Amino acid sequence: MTVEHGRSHEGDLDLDTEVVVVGSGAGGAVVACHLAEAGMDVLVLEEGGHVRPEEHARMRPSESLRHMWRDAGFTLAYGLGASPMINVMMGRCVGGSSALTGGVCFRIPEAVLADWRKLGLGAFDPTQLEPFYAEVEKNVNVVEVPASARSRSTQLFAEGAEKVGYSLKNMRRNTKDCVGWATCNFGCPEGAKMSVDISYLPRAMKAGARVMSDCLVERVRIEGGRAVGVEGRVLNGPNGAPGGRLVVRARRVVLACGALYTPLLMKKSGVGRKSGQVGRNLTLHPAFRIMARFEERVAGWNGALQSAFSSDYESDGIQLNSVFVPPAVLAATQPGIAGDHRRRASQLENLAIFGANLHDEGGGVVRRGLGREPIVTYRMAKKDAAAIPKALRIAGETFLAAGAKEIFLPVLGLEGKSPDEFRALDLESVSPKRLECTSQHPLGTCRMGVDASSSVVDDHGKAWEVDELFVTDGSTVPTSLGVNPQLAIMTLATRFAHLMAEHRPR
Amino acid sequence: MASDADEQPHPLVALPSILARGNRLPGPAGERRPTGAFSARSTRTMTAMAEALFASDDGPCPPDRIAYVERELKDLMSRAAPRGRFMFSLGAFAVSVIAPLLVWRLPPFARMPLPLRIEALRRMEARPIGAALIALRAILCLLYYEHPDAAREAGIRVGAKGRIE
Repeated sequence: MTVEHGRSHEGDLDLDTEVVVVGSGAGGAVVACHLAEAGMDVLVLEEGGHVRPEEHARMRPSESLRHMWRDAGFTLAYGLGASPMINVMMGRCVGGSSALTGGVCFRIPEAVLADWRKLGLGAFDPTQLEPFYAEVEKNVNVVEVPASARSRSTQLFAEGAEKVGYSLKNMRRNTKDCVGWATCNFGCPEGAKMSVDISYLPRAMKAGARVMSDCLVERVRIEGGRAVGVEGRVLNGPNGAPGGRLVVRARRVVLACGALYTPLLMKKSGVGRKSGQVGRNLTLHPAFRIMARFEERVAGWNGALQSAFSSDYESDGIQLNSVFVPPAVLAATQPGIAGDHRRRASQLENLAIFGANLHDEGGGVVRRGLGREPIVTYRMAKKDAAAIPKALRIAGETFLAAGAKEIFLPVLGLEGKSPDEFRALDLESVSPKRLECTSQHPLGTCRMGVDASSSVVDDHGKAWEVDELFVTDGSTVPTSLGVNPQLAIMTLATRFAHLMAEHRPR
Repeated sequence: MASDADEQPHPLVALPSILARGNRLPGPAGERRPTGAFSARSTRTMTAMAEALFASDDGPCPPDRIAYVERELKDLMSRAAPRGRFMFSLGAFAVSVIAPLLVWRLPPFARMPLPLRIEALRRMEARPIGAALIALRAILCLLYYEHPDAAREAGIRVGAKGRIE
């Protein structure tokens, strides 16, 4: 695959194309592939750089943060009221966040689709989505992770779950010949993760699409109520700073910059003023991890990074997911200073981890800031805040049932707890503000709907206010999913692409 | 006598050629300097923190590891967007000013002797203001434990092709 590097191009870029796709992640790559294969002239613009999978695979975690993650992984959603600060992790590279996920693929839960149909989105039932799911799952090789691929960390949690009275199911992931390095978030040394830079983009390019990295789109050009291209800067200045001017004339514009940057781009382009919905309804699936120390060597980095989950507590809005992190990242979670810290760090091998994420309500807003970065605020719903102590209790008890000697909760300032200390904790009194929380699933800020006054795009992904302007990323998802959204985003994008391909842009 | 394994570049720090120093990938939009975007004062505070955080019961951390952390920190910060850098600078400022007061000394933190810095951070960590330490500590740990010697000391076993075992 030959990606054209904007940073290697001198001066301005002035291009004509039929369709310009802004963003090369799960939403953009899928649409680019289908439209190119339908015979359209497609140009994909990516703000981030292009790091080949074999190069990414050799990076240390902190190098991956620097070169592949947006804002070096420091993007924050500011918690309002009693809500926690949430670290929102996104990709900024060719392949987008799909290059950085654990590969987890869930279909949209039936209960969520039922809610969408209540909103008038009648086309979204499992039967009508089936062909799109099937197509994506084939293209990115979605397979079930066998129980034999579970890390010892996940095995211990599964043993505990069985004793507590619930079960873990095998996850499905988009991998081929995964041998369980557990470094998915920081590059797969075996090239086993079928992210879109490995699956869809090469196909798009084979069909004639051009993919350009290091191109920052700042505005959609709109004339007479119709999108006619984009403009911005080529990041070919010193050290990747904005350099030459970027102008692309196109007959169709597809935005797929993710749920934080697509609304920002729309706002900068003056789109969405009528409905006032652009940037609103952000859901994050706030996620946190619970760690436990065992007497045995766990070494959870041997095995699939993510392999099992439990949806037994979905009625409380809780999903439990297996996770693990590389040793240096794990060390970063260890408290203590000097000798205390070093002693804890020497026990990394004995730590097991399990994650929980919340099926949240849309409490976030993306606003324009002074510079290029959005200001993201998030107000956690009472229902979601109430689920946190329950999730901590379940995960902690599960590890204890498996024989853990110490439980580490993701609460700022809270030391590891012995079994008795953990059981005596009044978790309900712990403010959500103190939760160490992350999100890898921002969704919903340009939501799809059937009414221009309460949504940003229609059920074809087309912006209500502007002709030939489409959105195909996670920002169109109308409600929280409660599960990892990668497959959902690719499936919706496939559906949008098929509909788009029926009519060439005028 | 050093074994073959000791003489090999440690896989955790083996850099691909495109990332050789002086040939970095571009940073975020608006970045004009690859290093130095994090102020010298903040860097001094963070380095002094690293010395305290990673000291052992036997004494200070080897200087080459601290120099490594400092170099990597500068590069990492140069790739963060301005708001991210600001948050870290704010955290470093809080440590610089507040931590010394907790051991009855005047700021700045970086000028205090190592034992006092360790005690100041211990006291800070035990208080609600310790929340300011979390992100700083996390990033310092991430960088420190990528150093091959630090990884080995923490018992991280690295096998063929750099696989953690």
